[in-house]
Amino acid sequence: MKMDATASLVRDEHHERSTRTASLGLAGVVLFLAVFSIMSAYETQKWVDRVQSNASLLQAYLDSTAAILAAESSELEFRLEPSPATRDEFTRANGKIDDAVRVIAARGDRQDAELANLILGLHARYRDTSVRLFAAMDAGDVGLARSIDIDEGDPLVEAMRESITQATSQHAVEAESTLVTMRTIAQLMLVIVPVVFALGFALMLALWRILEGYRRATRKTYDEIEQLSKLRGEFVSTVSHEFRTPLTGIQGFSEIIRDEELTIPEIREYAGDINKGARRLARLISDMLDLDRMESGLVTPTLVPVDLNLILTETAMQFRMGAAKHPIELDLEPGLPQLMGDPDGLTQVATNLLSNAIKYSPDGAAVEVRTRRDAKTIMLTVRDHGMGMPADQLDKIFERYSRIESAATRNIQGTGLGLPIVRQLVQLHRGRVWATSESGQGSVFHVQLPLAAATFAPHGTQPQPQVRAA
Amino acid sequence: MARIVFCEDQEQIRKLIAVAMRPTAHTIEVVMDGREGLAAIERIVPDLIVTDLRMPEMDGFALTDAVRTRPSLRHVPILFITASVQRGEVAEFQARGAADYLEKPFSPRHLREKIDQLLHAHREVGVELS
Repeated sequence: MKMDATASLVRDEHHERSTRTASLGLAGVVLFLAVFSIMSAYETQKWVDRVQSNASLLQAYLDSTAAILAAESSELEFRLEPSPATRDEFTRANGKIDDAVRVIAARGDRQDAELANLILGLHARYRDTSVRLFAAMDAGDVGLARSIDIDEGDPLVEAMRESITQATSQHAVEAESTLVTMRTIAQLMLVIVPVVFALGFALMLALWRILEGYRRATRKTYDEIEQLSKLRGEFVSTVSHEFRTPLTGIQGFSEIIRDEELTIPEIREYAGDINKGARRLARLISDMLDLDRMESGLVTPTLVPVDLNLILTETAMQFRMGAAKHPIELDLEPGLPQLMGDPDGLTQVATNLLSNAIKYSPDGAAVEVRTRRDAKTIMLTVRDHGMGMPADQLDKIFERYSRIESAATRNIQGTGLGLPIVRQLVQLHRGRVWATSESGQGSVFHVQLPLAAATFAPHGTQPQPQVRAA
Repeated sequence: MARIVFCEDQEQIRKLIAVAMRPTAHTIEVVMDGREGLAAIERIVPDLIVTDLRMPEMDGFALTDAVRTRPSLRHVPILFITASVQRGEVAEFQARGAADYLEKPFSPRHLREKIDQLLHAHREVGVELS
């Protein structure tokens, strides 16, 4: 019991560490997914901004081209049909170029700004030519006007248009490549995002399941400890009760002998009662210690070839001398093979089972002891002709202090530890013990010992043949 | 002189009680459990009941409950004999109707004194009531 609790506590500590690791992992995955989502959104936003600014810049270039074309065509109109209206129209169209080009400088980068400056420079010169063109037209010098337009104005307009067209096509190529890149990224995201999220969720699920497992294990450990402390409470109360009963006789009868006038036979009788109580106490203590040592795995039995028939014969002899009221019938299979076992332990098994059978048998009723070889095991059965047991008690009787208390058993003395000791000893031999019974028909205790029990396994320790515990 | 019924399942303690009560003038009946105790109590209508708590068939508490339901027995004082008294149990004993309790192992002299005490106290109460 003690070992189980310690193991539980060690396991608990390990779990606590692992739980912390798994929790941190879980938090990490959640954090990663959150950061990943934010980064993806931010990146997408950046690309959308880029496409948008490309589009608006291209628009500015197109507007500038349109403004130049409009100025050019209104100039042509003015020249073909000079009038204050066409002249105003040309001046107005000419003015729009500057506005359109400034938009390029505002929307584009340094290179665009330089280009815009260049165009603004060219346009200033073009405006200068148009002023002179108006003067020539006003003077009626059509030849001069024509020469200003063709030799000076047109090359300037050409240069402006050329620069803008070049830049526009360059920006169009850039925009196209941006869109291509963006589409590639979008396609990649379509694959990567679900994969990353699926992996993240799978990881979260795995970690959660680990945590859930630890939680359950921790709960189990807690329940075990709780159960253990409850058992200890019951144990202390039972032990206290078991000890106080013989102590009451010892204290009471010794006081009576001390304080009262008694006859010698009376004194002898009460001294006998005191002795009985003291012996019962001693047996209780030694049984308790034996059982505790075995349950704690502190007992390593001596492993030697044992003749079970011999042990049973000797034990039966001891009982025949002490309990002549009960015939003990031995039905032992001749030539039973020896098994590897602990002679003292097996003697105690025989003693406790016989003692139990005799206790619960009416005077004169036989106790039958039988051995049989059974394939790879030896079967030992001890049958009494007592009152038997109800079926629900058959397993319970191997628990500590679980004597069946009833009117019929109240005068049967026992420590309540004999059968638990038998079970421990049989388990040390890798055997099995159980009881069968029909109420009123007596009980049969079956012990199955493996013939090849060459390996002892006291509570998970390594087999230690031929070595006795210090 | 009073009539007393003792209920105790352990043979050794039954014997001790019989021996311990020999020097007194009381009439005693020692029985093995609560069920036999109840039969004896109904037959005798004793002045005092002394009972062990842990007994097969009918334990001390069940016996007390049974005694308290019978009008003719309701006022008979009951002394509990118990193997161990844990914290909070004394209050429970009183609540369950015990006049007093005695812890095992007990001294025979102490048992007799306690019995006399209870009989005396009860007689006084009886006088006051009548």
